[in-house]
Amino acid sequence: MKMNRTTQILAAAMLGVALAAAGVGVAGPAVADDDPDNGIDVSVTIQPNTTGQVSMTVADNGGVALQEDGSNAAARQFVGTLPTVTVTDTRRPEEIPAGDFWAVVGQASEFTATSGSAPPIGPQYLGWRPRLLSDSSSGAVEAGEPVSSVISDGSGAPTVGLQGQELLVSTANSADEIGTWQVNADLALRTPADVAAGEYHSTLTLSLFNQS
Amino acid sequence: MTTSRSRGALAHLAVLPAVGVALLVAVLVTTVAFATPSDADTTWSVVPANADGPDGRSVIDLELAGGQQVVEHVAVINRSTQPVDFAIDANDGYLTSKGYFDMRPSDAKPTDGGSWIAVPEKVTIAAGATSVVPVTVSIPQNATPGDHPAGVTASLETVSGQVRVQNRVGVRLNIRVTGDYVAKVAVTDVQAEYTGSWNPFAAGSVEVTYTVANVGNVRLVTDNRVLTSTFVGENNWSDPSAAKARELMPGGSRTFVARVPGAWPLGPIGTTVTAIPSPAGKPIPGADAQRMAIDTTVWALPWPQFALLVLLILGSFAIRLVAAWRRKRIEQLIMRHSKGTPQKA
Repeated sequence: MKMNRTTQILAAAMLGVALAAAGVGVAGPAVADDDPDNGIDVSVTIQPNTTGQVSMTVADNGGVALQEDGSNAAARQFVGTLPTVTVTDTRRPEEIPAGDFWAVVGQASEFTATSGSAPPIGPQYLGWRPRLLSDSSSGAVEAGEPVSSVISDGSGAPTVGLQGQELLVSTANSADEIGTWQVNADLALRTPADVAAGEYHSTLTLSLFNQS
Repeated sequence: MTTSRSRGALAHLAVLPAVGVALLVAVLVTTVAFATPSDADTTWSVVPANADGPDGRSVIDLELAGGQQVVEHVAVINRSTQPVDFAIDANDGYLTSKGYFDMRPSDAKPTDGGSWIAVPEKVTIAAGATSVVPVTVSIPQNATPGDHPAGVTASLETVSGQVRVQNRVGVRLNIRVTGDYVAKVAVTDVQAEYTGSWNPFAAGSVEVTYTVANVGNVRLVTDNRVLTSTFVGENNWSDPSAAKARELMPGGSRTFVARVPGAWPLGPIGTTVTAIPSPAGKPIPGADAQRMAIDTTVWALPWPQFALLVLLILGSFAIRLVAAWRRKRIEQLIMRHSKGTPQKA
């Protein structure tokens, strides 16, 4: 969305008034802040951590709504995109123990119908195709292999579904590369053609663990 | 996206009268809007800790006797620009089919190491702050000796959506209960398949599929070797993959595929799969590590070589036929020629 300068200033000014009126009182001292880069500190200052860590970043999201696309006589297919997950390693090379590595593994629960007596759809019907959106300078960081629903998507990917075994992204060796990497995945729920109509919900759990 | 959304919200505010406000404030506040473009992002880390904060460990290794209890800690670091509620979970740990550690999902009831861990249900952490969460591990009196993998996570869950996404960051707990440790594996389901080369002068390869199971009670890494032998020689192959890809938890098993080159198709090819276990992590003195080997035989017949032989035989016949025909023709020519001209010395 593009906004012209006047609107921005008006908007910003309005927020400034709101802050002042609410008696936040932060705006005043912040104007006198010695560090011009930080601007006005309207939230808690983030203390610098002396040692780095591996962290995960996710945007506020409403999960994934799957849309029917690609159904045929053999299967019904519902697709969507996993919200982007970012993994950041802020450790210094000398802080990383030998052989240390991290991984994000995904597992889905069964899709249960919110109403009616429709039987659940097991996690083996949900496949994905992880995608590394950032470059890995050393090649150590890689997205996991694609996995198809047990009803094959025809890509040749293993037809096992997301049953607690599948890698989203990992590094072969933490010391090879520190930085930040973004990954998402195309999701495809492929069910039998005669699946009962209804509204179904599943939980996809993505877990970042230091593996060493 | 977030930036446009927040600016969109500001635009709505701007509909209200906002005339006569100091330009300085306006510019500064605008800077803030740009400096924090991702208000909705949540960034967090979870690492092993002591009561004072992160202690530099990557995982929590515990060796405890039945009936013993310890209080460990994990530090949950909220690197976001807003306070965040994290759900804290403990559950049983496992390794995936490719050897990656994960923890059972939050709706699964723990039955092993995870059920011995008590953690607070939830923590609320201010922006940029670190919270040290106590992790109480209580080993039951009758716990079996050996490893009981578990984990502790801090997670976020989206409240809605057809597919809810639960993002979690965790710490691996290697819980070992003292007693008699057994490092033992079984090799099963060995299948060999021969792939020949169409080049009769090149050897083929044997693809060996085998399953290694950890039938002991401690986590192991196995050194996997395959030996193929024909009556003209033997070929040794060792799994070159990183050791971590071969780690096995007690009760766990993994199927491997090895391709051993250099096998000639000369009838029976014997394949022997050997798995040599050693404890994962630090060595265990006195642990009884037993290697395990299993054999199978695959037949390979020398079809390319046979085809070559047939070709050679056919070829030599053809050469003889052609040679005979040419000889005959030359003789005829000589005969015809010698009739008309006198022979020179």
